[in-house]
Amino acid sequence: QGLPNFRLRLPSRNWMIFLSITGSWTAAVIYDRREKKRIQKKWATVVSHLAEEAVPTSVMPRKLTIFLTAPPADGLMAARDHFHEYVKPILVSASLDWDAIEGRREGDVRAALAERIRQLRKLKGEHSTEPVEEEDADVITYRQRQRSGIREWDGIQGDIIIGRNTWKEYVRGLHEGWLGPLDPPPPPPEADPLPSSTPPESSTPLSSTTIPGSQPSELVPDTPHTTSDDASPTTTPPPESPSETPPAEQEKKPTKRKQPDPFISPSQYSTATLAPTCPPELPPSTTISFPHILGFLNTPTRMYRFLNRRKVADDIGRQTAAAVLASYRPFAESGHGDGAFLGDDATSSGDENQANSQRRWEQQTLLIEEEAEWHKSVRKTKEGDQKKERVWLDEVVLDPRIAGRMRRFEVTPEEEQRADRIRNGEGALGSTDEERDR
Amino acid sequence: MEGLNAQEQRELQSRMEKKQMKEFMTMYSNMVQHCFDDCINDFTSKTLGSREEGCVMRCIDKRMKGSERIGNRFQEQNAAMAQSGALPGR
Repeated sequence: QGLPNFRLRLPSRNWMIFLSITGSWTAAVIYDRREKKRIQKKWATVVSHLAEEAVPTSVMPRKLTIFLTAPPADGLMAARDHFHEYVKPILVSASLDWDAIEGRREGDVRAALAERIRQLRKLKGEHSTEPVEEEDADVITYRQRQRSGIREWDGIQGDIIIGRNTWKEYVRGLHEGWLGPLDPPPPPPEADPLPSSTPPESSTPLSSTTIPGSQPSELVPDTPHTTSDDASPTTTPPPESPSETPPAEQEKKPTKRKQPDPFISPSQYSTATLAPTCPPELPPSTTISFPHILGFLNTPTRMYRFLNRRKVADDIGRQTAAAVLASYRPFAESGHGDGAFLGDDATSSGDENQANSQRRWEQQTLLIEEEAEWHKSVRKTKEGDQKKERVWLDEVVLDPRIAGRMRRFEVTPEEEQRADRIRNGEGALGSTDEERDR
Repeated sequence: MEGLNAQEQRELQSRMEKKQMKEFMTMYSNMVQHCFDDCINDFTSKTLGSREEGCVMRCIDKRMKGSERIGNRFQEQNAAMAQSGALPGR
């Protein structure tokens, strides 16, 4: 009768070691994932009231634009998975529509964004040598909507940018789009390797840069491209850019397509005229940190991050909720800064940049800690591309006209408090549900 | 419409109208069926309660708005299709 005579004993020393190690590891993982889910649920609840709002039939829902680039030395799927895991649940909870601009190589996002802005400018009425391409699906939809009287969302749209490299490309693309010309710059007299000679589309098959020499670069910049004497476009291609010679026409997809060179270089910003159709406030944007690190010796860092994903989720949730709730503020600038150059040191173009470098803008330091984690292959330039601009490596150059128009999504302290209350267990509408009556 | 003479055009016109009428009636009866099935499931009383009435109103509202939106999107796709001659790929 009663309990048999068990002799309670602990497992052996080796088992104890094993179980404590695996037990603590598992506990850490489970705790982190549980907290991450709760935190994401918290941020999703903060914005979920937007899903209930009615939208009239003739109005398109609000659309955010997501900018994604493959992180250096990795694929686009890593960025996409990051987006799906951290950003998308909150957008889904608020039932917000989104549109993605993706980039595989360096400069894709810049090119796509600049092209989009140029098309917007053309549609709004600016004149250029190339008229709006009416065959494009987006333009057709735009015209049809104009005819039927369907308007876009009245409030502000927004952009969500994932990663420091994408942010740099975004800023560059914004400047290029609003400050640059609508017509592509003329190709250099050096050959382009394609048999189809310079078609007047914006995807001009340039093989070398058309930027006049005063841009920040490693080599001594040479004076404009007229030094070469070949005007024929079908001469032998220079050895550079073997990776950019596919004979393709469209520029929507980045793979195997020509990436059009920038229409304007950073050193030309101060002399360029701002587009007349530029709005006084550009659509606000927010940056999402994308922690990404490669390498065997970085394994401890990666382990630490693996066990601390809840912090990333909290940060990203906050930024995305700010974008969804559309609370924004202008970017801060500090007056008369540290005198640091904005370009690389070897350049002689300091003069133009001097005026800009008097102030340090907040945009330049966003997500700057990610740069240290980039794979070292980013810092190497291919042989032929020495003169090309490296958007990821160069400093962020800002024109005050554009930087002053940029806005940043940020949660207000009230929303932050509300989020904390939700986290602590109260409902989304406070502890009583009186407001639910409609 | 070009290859037909006046009488055939009238014939086509009247047939199109009949078709549209039929389609409209089908849509109407579908809507009634659906909303009835979804909203009204309590037969202890033969009058429509306020809950059921509200439900029916909302059901019709949503259906009409939904089909209007879908119609708008379809029009846009149609325009794209008409110009490009094929389904716009994505």
